[in-house]
Formats: sequence, structure tokens, C-alpha cells
Amino acid sequence: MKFIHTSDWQLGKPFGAMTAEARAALAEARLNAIDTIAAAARSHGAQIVLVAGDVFDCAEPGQRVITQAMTRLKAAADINWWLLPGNHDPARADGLWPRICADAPANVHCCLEPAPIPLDEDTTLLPAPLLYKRTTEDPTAWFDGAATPAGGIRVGLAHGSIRDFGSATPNRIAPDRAQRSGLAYLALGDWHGRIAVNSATHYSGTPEADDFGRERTGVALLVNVPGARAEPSVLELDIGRYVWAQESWTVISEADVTERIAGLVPSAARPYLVARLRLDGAVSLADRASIRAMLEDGLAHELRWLDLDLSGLGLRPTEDDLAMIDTQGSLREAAERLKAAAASDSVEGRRAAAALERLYVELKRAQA
Amino acid sequence: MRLCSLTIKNFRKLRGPLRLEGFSRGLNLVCEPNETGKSTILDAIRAAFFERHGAKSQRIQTFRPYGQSVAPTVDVEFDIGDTTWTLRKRFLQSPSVSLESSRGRFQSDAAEEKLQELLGFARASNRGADDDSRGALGLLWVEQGQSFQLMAPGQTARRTFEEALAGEVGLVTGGRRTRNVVAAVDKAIAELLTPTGKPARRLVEALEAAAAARADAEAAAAELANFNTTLDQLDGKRAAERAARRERDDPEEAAAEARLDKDIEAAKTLASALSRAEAEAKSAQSKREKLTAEQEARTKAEEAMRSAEKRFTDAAAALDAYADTLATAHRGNQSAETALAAARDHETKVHSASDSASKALTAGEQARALLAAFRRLDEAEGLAVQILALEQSIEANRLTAKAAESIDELDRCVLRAQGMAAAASPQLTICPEDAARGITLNGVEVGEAITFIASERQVVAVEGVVEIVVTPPASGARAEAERAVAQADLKHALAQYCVASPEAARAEAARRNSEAAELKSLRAQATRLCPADEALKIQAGLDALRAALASRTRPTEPGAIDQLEQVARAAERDHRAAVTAVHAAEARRSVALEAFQDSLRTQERLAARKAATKDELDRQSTELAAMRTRRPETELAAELDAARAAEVTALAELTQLREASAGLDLVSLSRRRESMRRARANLEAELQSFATDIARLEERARTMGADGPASRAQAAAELAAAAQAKADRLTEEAETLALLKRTIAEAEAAATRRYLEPVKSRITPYLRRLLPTAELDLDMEFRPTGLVRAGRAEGTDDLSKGTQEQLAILTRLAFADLLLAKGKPASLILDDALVFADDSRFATMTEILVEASSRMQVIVLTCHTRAWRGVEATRVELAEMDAA
Repeated sequence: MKFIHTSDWQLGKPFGAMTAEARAALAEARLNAIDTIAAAARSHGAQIVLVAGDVFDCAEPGQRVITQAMTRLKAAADINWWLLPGNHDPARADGLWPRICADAPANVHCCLEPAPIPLDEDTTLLPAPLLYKRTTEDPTAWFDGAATPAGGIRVGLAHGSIRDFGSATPNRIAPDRAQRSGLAYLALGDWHGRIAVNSATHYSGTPEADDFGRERTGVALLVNVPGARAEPSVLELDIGRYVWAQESWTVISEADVTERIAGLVPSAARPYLVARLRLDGAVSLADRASIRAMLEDGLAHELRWLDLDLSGLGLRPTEDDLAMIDTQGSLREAAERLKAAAASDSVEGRRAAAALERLYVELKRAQA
Repeated sequence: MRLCSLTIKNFRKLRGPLRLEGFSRGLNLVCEPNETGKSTILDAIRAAFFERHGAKSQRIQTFRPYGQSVAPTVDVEFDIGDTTWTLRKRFLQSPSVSLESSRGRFQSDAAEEKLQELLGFARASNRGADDDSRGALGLLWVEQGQSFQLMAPGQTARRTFEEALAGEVGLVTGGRRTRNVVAAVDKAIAELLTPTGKPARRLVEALEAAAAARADAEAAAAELANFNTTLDQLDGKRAAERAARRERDDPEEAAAEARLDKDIEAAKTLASALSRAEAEAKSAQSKREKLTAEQEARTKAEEAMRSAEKRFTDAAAALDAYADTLATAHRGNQSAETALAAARDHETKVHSASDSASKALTAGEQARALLAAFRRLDEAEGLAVQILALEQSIEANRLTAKAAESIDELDRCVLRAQGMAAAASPQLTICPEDAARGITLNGVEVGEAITFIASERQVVAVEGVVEIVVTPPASGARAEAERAVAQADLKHALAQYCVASPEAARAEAARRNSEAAELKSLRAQATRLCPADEALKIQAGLDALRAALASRTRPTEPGAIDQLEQVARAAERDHRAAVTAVHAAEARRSVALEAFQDSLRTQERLAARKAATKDELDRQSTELAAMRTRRPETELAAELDAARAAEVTALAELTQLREASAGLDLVSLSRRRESMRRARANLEAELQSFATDIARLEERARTMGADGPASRAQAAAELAAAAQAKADRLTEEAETLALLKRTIAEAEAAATRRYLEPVKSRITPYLRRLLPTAELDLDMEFRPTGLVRAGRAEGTDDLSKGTQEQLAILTRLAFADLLLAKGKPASLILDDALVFADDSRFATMTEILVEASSRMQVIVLTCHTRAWRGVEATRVELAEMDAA
């Protein structure tokens, strides 16, 4: 029995902080992931794709997103897609799912009831759809007593957390559910990073990265279950197009930044890189101005999206900086005053630093 | 710096080539009359240095002589340090410029730039040079009529001074770089904030976008909430519908209703039996009650008759017993009646005796009063005769007290006049010797000695011996005349009152007075004799008494009044005793009568009661007889027993039926069945309504869901956050820019304050020579703003024109010194300066200028030849050159 395990497509995710162009590109990438998964399934000879929840980013993503998704799913007519409602898109009565089911193409199946579904002659799928955003009960609890043909393969499909994040962690799933319920494989969703919980229990992670700080993401799992008692083989397939990188740079000069920019995720092509950079350290006025120019006017335009935070980058004006402003006179006096004010670690201090930088930049601009 | 020579051609009114030469390093005077073109010379110098040769602005056009298209040309030779420069500038027609010295030759723009560099001014704008471009020299080369202006130096000049001061104060204001930065910052701020600090275009857009995004997010959130509410409602309705359906289809309910129907039927049957039994019981009870009542009525009638009998017997006994009491009362009444009659008779008798005695007393008293009246009248009449006599005597005597007084006065006047006459005339005493003969006075012989006052001419003669004439003085005649008048007045008065002398008059007056007193006394007596008489009803006065007694006869003397009085008082006492006795008898009779009447009434009442009790007894007896006749006693007892037995039977049956129908109350059963049916109908209606609601909500959920409210809400929230972040960034940028601008302004102000001090310290020594103790204030722009004299501040605008001009020249001198001290070119040209100075100030100012000329070249253009005559200076004259 061979199938693809994926989850957390989060179709319709808005990325509201970004530019319209970046938002459109990232939204499109999430839909493209469906095509990529279909192609991967085909190339590995799998006809079944199990999507372990959070197909959509929210309970009501709008008809346009649904239609676009269905169109792509339908296009892969040779693949059977098994979709599970997750905490982002719970199977609420009269919500999104009844509408999807109503118009779903023949190769798309919605798992809206906690009831066994035969996938083929040997294999039974035990889905644990979420009916609410949060449930306090383990949605997979019913797997234990689920009646399936004797000797057949039991595959679980669920969405929730294995780990305990405190007493109120919702949708919590027992880590040993696969063993307890005699599952050959438990396909989990919720984590956007890929995690192998144990040999039979896996989070696939999202196929297209959508956030920073994931160790491994942008993959789908090709699962081969040889038999009801046999250990499954799990293969990671690269699906995602975009790389989300988050870095914190401590710099003391422009040269540091130049170097860090050159070394920023060399594996990813710049147009497919989404980066979050936070700079700290302290630099001269001249360096700070050119660093800002390099990042804001250079790198930011190269990348799909750059979330830049320079608020931690301190200012250490050098004698040259101040001399550039003036060797004496009122501008120098003003610069000295701002420099003194900038020493304070406060809103006013940061504002004074910004004003000093602005003074420097304006003079530089006038010089040019 | 020194101007050496100057050649001007075709410059305004100076057409033909005009040359000034021989300017010394010190003080130079160009003394020329008005209209000779002194000011034009200064204009030409300023044009040569400050205006660009290629400029064609309207001002440059005015350099041409009026109506001629020639090229204004100015050639200047000047020294800077050890180098002599020759500047040739030609305007408008084939404009050109050249600057030459031993160091080289510069043409065109290079020459202009070299010149700017040498002299420290800026390139003029297209419109021509201005205060900003001319720099320090522009301020020092003062045009006519400008010398008293206390203008701020232009930007270039200020910059020059600031640079000159830099060494001293170690600070320079920013100059162009500062201005550029401030302008750039202003421009950036202007996009974010208005001058009053409110958000401007860019910031407004960002804030509006943030607000719009927020509103959008809120709307989307509301829409999502609405959608969720719809789903919740749908859930709720579905659950309610399921519950309703379960209830409707509940078999328990149907069974309960069937049971109820059966119970209702049973209840109906029982109810009719019960009502019948109730009617029977009621009838039996009624019959028994009727018989019982009859029996009770009969017992009551018997009792009543017995009681009536007793009452009748009692009443008859009471009436009999009362007869004695009545007889006693009757006797008492009769005896009281008799006593009263006797008392009344006695009273009548005593009353008439008392009356006669009283009348006799009254008559006696009347007679006595009348007699007294007659006696008073007699006496009064006597007095009346005396009064009349006195009145007549007084009437006849005219010498009243007043008349006597006037005669006395006249008499005193005569005595006074005689005294006066005696004092004024000689007293003549003639004492003839015994036997002397022939002595005459006024011809009358004088026998014996006489003495008299000679108020007239007296002739005393002794016949044959002598005649002596005594003539009184003139004053004696006047006194004599007054005396005569007084005597005549007295005589007249005496005649008037018919008396002989004043003494007689006084006697008469005394008599009249005594008579009047007597008259008064008599009148008082008469009045006392005729008082008002109450007894006889006579008013006071003699006339009233007379009138009252005229018709009455004088009575004889009456008898003893005392006796009469005693008799009358005794009779009165008897009468009063008789009256008291009558009253007592009347009271006794009244009590006896009342007692008698009471007894009569009591007797009547007792009789009436006896009659009434008799009637009652008869009635009761008749009634009882009638009852017994209607139904004999034995028959009634038998019927009552039968009725009681029937009632017991009926009640037993009724109780049995009631017990059977307990719990089968038809009304409550029917109500229960009704309520059950209504509940079912309501349930059906509810199900109908649920179906409608669910359909409606389903449709709404479908429609709303298709729009993706959750997705929209999330996207809108993220967009709102991003828009807010952008607005925050811009707000922070505005704050940053404002801080930068503020900081630069503060730094500039601080710098300016520091470099103003050296300028002030250079002005002060000059100023003290002109105005001891005075101090000049400068503002940040180097503009003199105020003068402090002896601690009192004055605005420079309030100073006289003369003082203003002098202050302006001194300030410029200080600036020039400043430039010199820093090795910068400086020279002072004053066109018609000091025209407002008085002689003393003029002298001081020229001293200062002469001293200054030892440090720098000073050129004074003036038409006041005489004023400057005593000043040691190089005098430069205008020299027309040959046009060739």
C-alpha cells in the first residue's frame, strides 16, 4: 500500500503584512504545491494522497479559494485525494465542508465522520476529523475500538498535537495511538515542520513553507506500508518552492553585512527566498547609512519579501562621521547633541539616533 | 584693500570717460556739488565688482545713459595686500570682464570667480546682485541714503563675519550646508506634518489608510461574527427541531391522551348520577327542615304565651299599688295652692301702704327745694341792682388805665421840657432891698424877690438908675418852644378826659379800677347764687332761675321731712318682705304641682302597660290555638320522624356516589385534554416554523460562506496591522525629523549667541566715544536692535535719524575691523554720510573715521565741502578725460 501523506496546505493564507505582489506569489505557490504533490505521487506510483487537516487556512476561505483548489485536485484525476478537516478548517455543520462535498469532483473525498473508510481491499482509513477549532478529547480515541476487516491494514488520519503544551492543549492526540489502535501508519497534521514521532507516526509538515523558524518544511511523505504488522517506509519528497529564512546578524561594520548578505541561504534562489533579518551590534553613521541602503534598497528588492528589523542596530558615530557632518559649527553641535541623546536606551534615544542618521544622510545626499 | 583709481564710461549720467585717481590708503574725500554724479561713482564701483558682466536684467539696463545703446564700462585698479589688480568690466554691449595682476590675467567667468574669491562675495543671481550676494564689502560700501539703515547683513556677509569670528569663538553657523539640511528636513516634514504640527499629506494618507484598514478589519470581523452567529443559530434551530419532532412522535403522549378520553367518559356518567342523588338529598333535607321548624315554632309560641301571662299579672299589680302615691301627691298640691293665694293677698296690701308713704316724702322734698330757690332768687336780684349801678359808674368814667398812663406820659414830657428850658435859659433872681422902689421887670414893678427862668428877653429896670436887659440864648428859645408844645399836649389831654390836672386824672383812674374789682366780685356772688338745680330741673344762671320760678308760687315752710322718711322706709321694708313670701309660696306650689303631674303620668303608664300585656296575652293564646287546630301534636311528631329517616338514606347514597367520582373531575380532565391538544398543535406549528427558519439560515450560511468571511477577516486584520505599522513608522519619522530640526535650530542659536559677543566688544569702544556708558544690542542676525544708556533700553527705531546713522557707521567699522583682523579685504565707502550729525557728533565721527583710516581705506563722497574742510584727507577730484 503506497500513498502520499501531506498536511497543512493552509490554502488562502493572507500574508497581510506583505506587499500585494508578495502576497499573490505566496498564495499562488500554495496552490501550485497541489500540482507538485500530484506529480510526485504519479512519479512514485502512488494513487492516494492523504491530507491530514488544515487544507484551508480558515473555516471560511471563500468560494474562490475552494474552487481554485478543487480545480487543481480535479485536474489530477488519477489521484484520489482524502481531505481531513483540521483546526483551521473544522467540519462545522453548514460550514465549508458540506459545500465542498456537494461540488467535489469524484476523486476528492472529504472525511467528515469519524468512521472507517475502506481505501482498497486490504486497507482501511480511520479519519479523525475536527468538528471544532478546539476539542478537549482526543479525536483519535475511537480508533482503538474501530472495527476493520481482520488482518487488514489500518491507517489513521488525524490533526492535532502529540505533545502536551499544558493542561489546555487542544486536539491532543496520544503519542502511542498507532500502537494502541494497531495502526500500520498514523498520518498527522498540525505541525508545519516535518516530524517523525515514531516509526509509524509522522507529521508531514506543510508542503509549502509559510513561516519562519521551521527546521524542515516544504516536503510531503511518500509512505509505503507493506503489511498490517510491517514497519512502513517513509520518504521525504521536496515539494515547496519558497524558502523562509530567519537570521539574526550581529555586525560592527558595513563589511560584515556585505558578507552576511552574500552568504544568505545560498541554496535558495533570491526570488524564492522570504527572509526575516534582525540586526544588532553597533556601527558608524556611515556604515549604518550604507547598511540601510544595502538592505532596504538592495536585498529587499532581490528577495520575495524581506522583513527587516534594524531597531536593534546601535549607532556608534565615529570622528569621521562627525567630521563629515562638520568639523565645527552648528551642524556639528547639533550632531554632538543628538549623539549624546542617542546614548540613552529609550524611545527618545533611538529617535535621536535616527535623527543623527538622517542628518548624515541628508548631508551626504547634498554632497552627492 | 585699497581702491587706487577708477575710470567710468557710459555709466548712467557719467557719459564721457571720467577718471578718479590718487586714492590713498587712508581717508579720501570726494567733495563735489550735488548732481555731479558722486552716487553714480559708487554705483559704478558696486557694479564693477558685484554685477556679472553678462547680466542683462532690468537693473543692468539702467546702467546705460538714458536713451543710448552704448556699453557701460568701469575700470578699477585696486590693491589687495601687495598685489595690484586691474578690473575691466563692460556691460550689455559686447559684455566682457578682465582681471589682471602680476599674478595673472583672468577673463570672463574665471575673472568673475577670481574676483569673488578675492573679495569674498557670492555670484549674483540672474536678476542682479543683492544684499545676500554682495557680501561684506556690499555692507561696507554704503549707498546714499542707506548709511543710517541698521539692516541685518546679507547671508554672504554674515557668513564672512562668522568665518572671521570662527577663530575667536570656535564655532561657525552652518551656512549653506545647514540651510540645505534644514530645507531638506523642512521638505520632508512638510510631507508629514503641517506647520502647526498636524498630520500632512503623506502621514494623513497613511493614517487614513490605517483607519480605513482598521474599519475594514472590524467590518470583516463583524461579518465573520455574523456568519458564526448564523451557524450557531442554525445549530440551535436544528437541535430544537429534533427535540420538537421527538416530542411530537412520543408514543407515551398518545397513550396518555387515550387514557384521558376514557376517564372523561366515566366521569360524565358518574356526574349525572351524582347530580340526581344530590337533588334527592336536598329535597329530603328540605322536608325535614320544614317540619323541625314547625315544631320549634310551636314550642316558641307556648313559651311566649306563658311569658305574656306573667307580664300581664305584674302590670295589673303595679297599677293597683300606685293609687296611694297618687292621692298623697294630689293633697300636697292643693295645700301649696292655698298658701300661695294667702301670700299674694298680703303683698297687695303692704304694697299700697308703701306707695302712699313714698309719695308723701317726695312732695315734702319738692317743697323744700322750691323754697330754697326762691330765697336764692331774692338775694340774686339784690346783687343785680348793685351790679347795674357799678356798671353804669364804670361806663361813665373814661379814664381807663391806658388813658391814665398816656396822661402820665404827657405830664412827664412837660416836666422834661421844663427841665430842658431851665437848663438852656438863665435863671433870674431879683431881690429888691427893703424900701427899694421903682424896680420893674418888663415894665411891671417887682415888689418882692422873685426867681424865674428867663426864657425870653427880660428887661429889669430901676427907674432912674438902670435898665438891665437879659436876653436868653437861642437854645433857650427852642427848649422853651418844646416845653410849650408839651404843656399844650397835656392840656389837651386833660380836657379830653375832663380832668383838671394829672393828679385828678390819676385819682379818677384809681376809682375806676376799684369799681371794676367790686363788679367782678359781685358777679361771682350772683353766679354762685344761681347754680343748676337738679331737683327742680333749673339750669344755671339768674335768667333761668327767674324764668323757672316766675310761674311758681312760693310755698310755705314744709313739715318734718325726717318723719316722712322713716314712715316711707318702714313701709318699703314691709313690702319687700311680702314679695319674698309670695316667691317662696310660688316655688312650693310649683314643686307640689310637678310631683302631682308626675304621679298622674306614672299612673297612666302603668294602666297602658296593663292593657298592652293583656292584648299580647290574647294574641299569643289565639295563635297557639290556631297551630294546634291546623296540625295536632301527635301528627307532627310522626311526620318529623319519617322525614328524618328519608334524609339519612338520601345522604348515604350521595356520599357513596361522591367517593366513586373522586379523581374523575370532568372539568380538570377536559382542561388537561384541551391543553394536550393545544400543545400538539403548537408543536406542529413550531416544526413548521423551524423548517422555514432552518431553510433561511442555511441559505444565509451558504451565501455568506461563499464570500469567505473568515479568510477575509484574517486578511483584513493582517492588512490593518501592516497599515498601522506603516502609519506608526511615518509618525516616528515625523518625530525624528522634528527632533533633528529642533536640534539644529538650538545649535544655531547657541552658536550665534557665542559669536555675537566679539562683534559687540568691537563696537563698544567707538560707541563710548559718541555716547559714554552706552551699549549696543545685536540680534542673531547681527542687526543692531537696541541701545542701553545708563541702564535704560531704547529700541533703535526710536533713536533719532542722526544717532541711527552714526550707530550704523560704527557697526560697519566694527565689521570692517573684524575683517581686517582676519586678513580679509576691507574698505569703507560712505556716500553723503553724517548729514544728520550735529557739530559735536560730526567732529567725534570724523575723528573716529580718521583713526580708522590708519587701518583701512576710507572713501567719503560728500557735497558738504565746508564741513570736511578741517579734516586731514586725500582729496580726489573728478577728472573728465578726453573722449578719445
